[in-house]
Order: sequence, then C-alpha cells, then structure tokens
Amino acid sequence: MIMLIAFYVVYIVASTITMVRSGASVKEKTVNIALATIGGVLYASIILRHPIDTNQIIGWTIDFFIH
Amino acid sequence: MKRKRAMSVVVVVICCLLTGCWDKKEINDLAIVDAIGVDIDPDSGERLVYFQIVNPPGVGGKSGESSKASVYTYKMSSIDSVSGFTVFANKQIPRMIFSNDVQLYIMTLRYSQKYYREILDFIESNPTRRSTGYFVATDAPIDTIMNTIVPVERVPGRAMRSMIELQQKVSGVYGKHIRARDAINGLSRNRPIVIPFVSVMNDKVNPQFAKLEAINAPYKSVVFDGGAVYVKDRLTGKIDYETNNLSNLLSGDADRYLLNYSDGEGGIEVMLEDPIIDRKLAIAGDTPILSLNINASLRIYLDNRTKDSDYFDVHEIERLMTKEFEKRCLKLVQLTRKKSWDLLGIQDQIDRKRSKVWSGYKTDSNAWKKTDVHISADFKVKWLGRTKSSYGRSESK
Amino acid sequence: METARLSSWQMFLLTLAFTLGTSFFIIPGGIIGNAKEYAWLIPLGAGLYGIVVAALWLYLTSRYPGLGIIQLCLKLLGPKIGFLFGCLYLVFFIQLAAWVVRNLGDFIKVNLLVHTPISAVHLMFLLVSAYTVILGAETIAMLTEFLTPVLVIVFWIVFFLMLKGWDWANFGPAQEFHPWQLMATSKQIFGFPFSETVCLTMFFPFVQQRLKTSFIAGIGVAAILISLIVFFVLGIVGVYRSSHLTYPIFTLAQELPFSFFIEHLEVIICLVWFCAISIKLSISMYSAAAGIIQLFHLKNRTFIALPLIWIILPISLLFESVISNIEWDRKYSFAFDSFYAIVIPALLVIVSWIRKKQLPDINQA
Repeated sequence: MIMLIAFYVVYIVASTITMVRSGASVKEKTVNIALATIGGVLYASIILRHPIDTNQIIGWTIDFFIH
Repeated sequence: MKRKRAMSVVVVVICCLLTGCWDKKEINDLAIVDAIGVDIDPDSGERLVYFQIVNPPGVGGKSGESSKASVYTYKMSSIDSVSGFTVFANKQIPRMIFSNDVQLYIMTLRYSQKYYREILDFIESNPTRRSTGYFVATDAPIDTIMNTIVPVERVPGRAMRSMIELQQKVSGVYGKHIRARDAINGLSRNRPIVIPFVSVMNDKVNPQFAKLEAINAPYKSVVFDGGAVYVKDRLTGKIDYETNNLSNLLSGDADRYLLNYSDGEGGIEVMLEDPIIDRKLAIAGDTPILSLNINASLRIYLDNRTKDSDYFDVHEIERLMTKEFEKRCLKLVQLTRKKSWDLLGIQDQIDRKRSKVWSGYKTDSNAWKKTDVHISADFKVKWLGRTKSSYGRSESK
Repeated sequence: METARLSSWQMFLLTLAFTLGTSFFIIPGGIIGNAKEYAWLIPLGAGLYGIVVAALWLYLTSRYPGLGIIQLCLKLLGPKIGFLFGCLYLVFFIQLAAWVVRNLGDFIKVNLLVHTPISAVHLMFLLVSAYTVILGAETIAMLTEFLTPVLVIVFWIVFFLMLKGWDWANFGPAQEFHPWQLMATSKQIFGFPFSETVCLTMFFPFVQQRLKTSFIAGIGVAAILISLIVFFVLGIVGVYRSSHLTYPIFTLAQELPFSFFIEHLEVIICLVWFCAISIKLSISMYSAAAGIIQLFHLKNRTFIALPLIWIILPISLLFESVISNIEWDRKYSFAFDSFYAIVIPALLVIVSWIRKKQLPDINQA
C-alpha cells in the first residue's frame, strides 16, 4: 500500500511538472490526475482486499437486464 | 630544487602514514573457510572443530584442474578453549584462516546440548563474521558430514547452503530465520528456532572423489530432514518437514506450502502461494484469543478426484483445501501444546503488549498454552498448470 | 484531433492482427472442449457473424464519413446522452485492454515466469503499448504492417512443421452434428474476438480508400486462419487432449517432433503471440485514449496513455484465475460484446434515419 501511494505521488508530481513545463491546458491536467486517481483507487481496493470488481459489476448489470 | 626535496619528504612521510600493510590480506596466503563443523568427542569429551577450506584450483572450471579436491577438511581438537581453534589453526594449516565468508555452521546435537550458547557467543563476538552463514544441526558423525561431497555442486558448504535456500524458495520448508543472528535473537524469545537438520543417506561414505563417478547421485550424500527445535538454548526435539513448513507459513516466515487432500480414491494437490496473514491477539473474558486469517492463492498441481471434466471445479477445490488446511492447523496447534513449542510466537506477542490487561499473562510463561487459537483460511485458485481440467481418476473395475 | 492516414493494406492487417491477437492462442482449447471434432466450423460461423455486424458499422460510418464511433455517439445522440454512450465505449475499450493483458499475464505466469509477480509482467507490456499509443495511429499501423506478415509466415512455417504429428485418429469418435446447438454452446466466440473489432471503428476515419473491403477481408481471413489453426490442433493434439489443455498450441509446439537439432519451437510461437498481443493491446489502448480525447476535446495523447496504465493494470488483476475468466466469458462475453457491437450501433443507425427524416422537414419549413 505504501508502495502504491509512493508511486501515485511520484507519478502525479512528475506528470504535473512535465505538463506545466509543456504548457498543457488545465483540462488536460485534470483528466490526467482524474484517470490516475481512478486507477489508484481501483488498485488500492485490490490491495485492501475489497476489490471494485468491474467484471462482477458488468456481470450483475447483464444479469439484471437479461435474467 | 628545494621544492622537489620538500615534495619527496612529504611523500615519504605520507607513506609512513599508510598503515594498510600491517593488516594486508594476500589472497594467496588465505585459507578460505567454506564450512565449520563442531562436535564433541564421545570418548574424551574434547571439543572438535572441522574447518573446510576451499581449494581454488579444485573448484575452477578448467577440465584438468577439476580433478583436484574442491575442499580440504581439517580436524582440530581442544579441551579447554574454543578460541584455540582459530588461534592455533596454523599447527595444521599453512595459510591464515579466513572465516569472513563461512557459508555454513554445522553442529552436532550433542555439541549443541552442551555448548549452544558458547558457540553463539563466540560467533557473535568474532569481528570478521558475516551474518549470512546458516546454522545446520546433525546427529550423524560430523566427520561423515564434513567429508561428504554433494554431487553437482563441488563445494559442500555452498551446496548445503544452496539446498537450504532453494527449499526456502521452492517449498517454503525452511523459513527466513535460520541464520546465526536468528539463533542469537532466539535466546531472548519464547518462540523456538528451528535449525535445519541434516543426516547422511548412507553412513559408509567413500571420502574419495571416485564417488563422483557413481551414478546414483544421492547415495552416500547428505540429506535435509526437517529441523532441530531449540527453545532459547535448549534442544527440545526434532520437527518434521511438513509441520515446520506449516508453522513457518503461519508465522509469516515462508510463502509457500504444498497442500494435498485425498478422498480415498483421488486427490488434490495445490501449492499455496503469496499468503497474506492477518494476525490479531485479543482478550475475551479471561482467555486470550489469537485469530489468524490466511489469505492465499492456490496453484493447482493435480486434481484427479473427479471424473473426466471440462473445467476444474475451482470453488469446490477452494472449499476442500480450506477445510484441509484448517484441519492441519488445528493439529499443529495441538502439537505445539503437547511439545511445549510456541511455534506461533504467541507468548512473544503477549510479552510485547503494553496494556495493563496483559500484565498477568506476561508473568505466566504458559499463557500461550491457554490462548484460544482460531485459524481461518480464505483461498482462491489463481494459477493452473498447462491443463484447465483433469483427465479424471482411474475408473474402478 | 489526429490526422493520420492509413492505407487499405494497413487496415486489413490491423483487422487481421487484432482479430487473431489473443484469440488464436486461447480459443482452440475452449471451443474444442465444447464442439469436439466440429470445432473448426465454429470460427467460420462466427466470422460470418463478424462480417454481418461489421457491415452494420460500415453502413453507419459511411453515412458520416470521417467520424469514429464515439464521435458518432456525440453527433447523433447529442452532447449529454452521446457523452454517456461515449463513456460506455471507453469502459469497453479499457476492459478489453485489461482482458488482453490478463490473458498474456496468465500465460506467462503459468508457463514461463512462475515467480515473477503478474503485475510486473502486465506493467512491462502496458508501458510498451502506451508508448505506441503516444506515437499515434500511424505508428501502430506501420508496426502492424511490419510485424504481421512476418508473424503470420513464421507461425505457419512452424505450424506446417508440426504436421508430421498429424493423426486422423485424433478426431476421436464421431459425434452427431447439431450446428445450432454447437453455435449456442460456443457463443462466446461471437463476442470474443469478432464483436470486439468494434474497437477498430476508431481507426475508420483515417482510412483513405477501400475501407469496407479491407475491414471485411481482415475479419474473413482471420476467421479462416483461426478455423485452420483449430483444425490443425484437432489433427495433431487431438480432441481429447485439447479439451483439457489451456493453451493447446503451446503444448503442440513443445512436442514438435521435427528434428534433433531444431527444438523448443514453442519459443517462436510465444514470441509471435506476444507480438500479436502487443498489437491488440496497443489498438484497444489507442481506442480508449482517442475516445477520451474526443469526449473531452483534448490535444495531447501522452498524458492520456500513461494514466490509462493506472486504470488498466488493476482491472487486469481482477479475475481470480483462468477458470474464472473462462466462466465469465461463457456467461457474459456474448451479451457484453453484443451491446457494443449491435445494440448501440443499431440505435445509432435508427437515430440517424430519424434525423435524416426530420432534417428535410426542417429544411422545408
């Protein structure tokens, strides 16, 4: 978990610095951070052994509509 | 001119300050010790030490040289001092003993019964010792062990070290805590330390290198067989392979465990991998309760329990293996109580508690025996072999 | 917006590589288990189905040239509902990429690198693919153009060498032929890989000419190749063994009875598969990245592709094992893929008809 947080922080800091230097728009920065955060949350959920299981969610949705 | 003179004086003075020469270690003057064996002479009560010295030409890759012995074993005896072994080693050895890279310390059970603390103390105080050497116990005559060549790997100390490390990695039988430093730490703890135990497959060893030409490789060779259990400095018995593996797994020392189940006609074999252990020690009423939850993934090696099928029934396998595992854990807990081996380290955990509620239990050295142990497992089949289903069990006629 | 230009040959190869991608390694074991000696017919039937649904997408995109499927959602369904459907496609592309990586990870973890953490394996492939995505559609097309012919030729050379082990007895005892039943039990192949080609609609705007021919030919040839592979596996490994093996082609290559000095040809087969998977992964990641760019009107792909790794990596770890992956596929793959391959495109077609009808009225008014 600590490793994940470390990676996440390093990624966010490094990517933001690079984006600021290359003059990226605010929207791009927001999308980058949002995507990484979604990923971080998904990964954390796996490490904490309560995974946000998208496969299962898809399965439930299909079961709900078809069966 | 004046300047040059001044320079040379400075150089000479600086050279005098280079003190390295006093402690120089010329590699050609060293006898590199690969393994050290200690024993007691049963008749005279003398302490015996065996130094196994590496013979570099013997381990070299050149074909002509490899016929030379890879190591030479020196036997020394001393009645009164353990330090004498190294100090007077040059009575026999024409080089300076270099024990920085000892791979293995082998001690006989009879030696460890008498001199366990002494040898640990000696090793600990030795400034050149590195903590990488493993401890190994044996009840075989030590000169047999020391004079046995393990096929494939020419240097016995390194061979046995590799065998231990491979067993840590592949089977998880030996935990991570079997080094000299762990034995020393073990002196202050209640959890026993399990030292790998070796014996010899056939006592009549041929010390000659001609043995290397025998095709039956393990014949007359050393073989690892469970472990010797030391509670603090006391040798308390032998533990078998499987139990040691399980206790290491439960205490987080090993990350693999081969688990098998049989229903009489067929069975399942899985490797338990990457365990994550949740451990909690609490008090309910007057009784301490240790709950251990093991989350692990399973790798299916074999399942010939059912008839020929399309896919492995992973949920059934998970259920059966969980049940089997919990059963074995229960047996282990009973064994620890019977043998008074606190293999799960419960007493140590109690001792680490700060809350006042625990003070009564800290003084009671048997508190761990009164602790209720609840072990639960949560297994998920993660990996298969090349097949996704089994060919089924043999059909009965 | 990217302004790439792809030739029809490149589009053909992209379609071929994408369709064959993971499937030629994974599909044989599963469908042979279901359909026994008739398994080789299933990819042909599924290919036909693939061509029919492809015709639907081609019809849709031909009405609005220059637009990918997500742009079509935005255009036809409006910025709000269109955005929602666009996001659904994003989920699809990301899931697809995750499954592709997982298939690869499972294989490597079981057969090659037993002690390496699966996430490390996934990460390596994702990083390479992310780099390809950053470079753009043309790079992916050129990579495919360079690799696919080599891969196909090498693969078939190795495969033909294996013909030495052919035995008609491997087809096993004759079963009754119930085509509809067979298709029903193997319906997941209609989803994976044939409906998944909806990903490639993101590349349609870049193709200069003969899009329809190249795309449909790609699917058709892929179907024929998968069918041939299944047929060979049946003849060489046999019905009985294949239905128990997870990767019969790998086993087949391991046992190649060719000669005493050419051995371990499974390494070549593995390399072919890894390259094919990288292409498929790059395409699905590119589709996701391009989708995000279109939905949020962005410019730079670099910081879309990199954070995508953050999402794909954990999703790829969700399946517990190969078996749970197969179970999921059996149950949901067809329905899930059909939603993206048929339901949404059909909805878009209907909306486009309605809009067209409304438009003249507005014009007249």
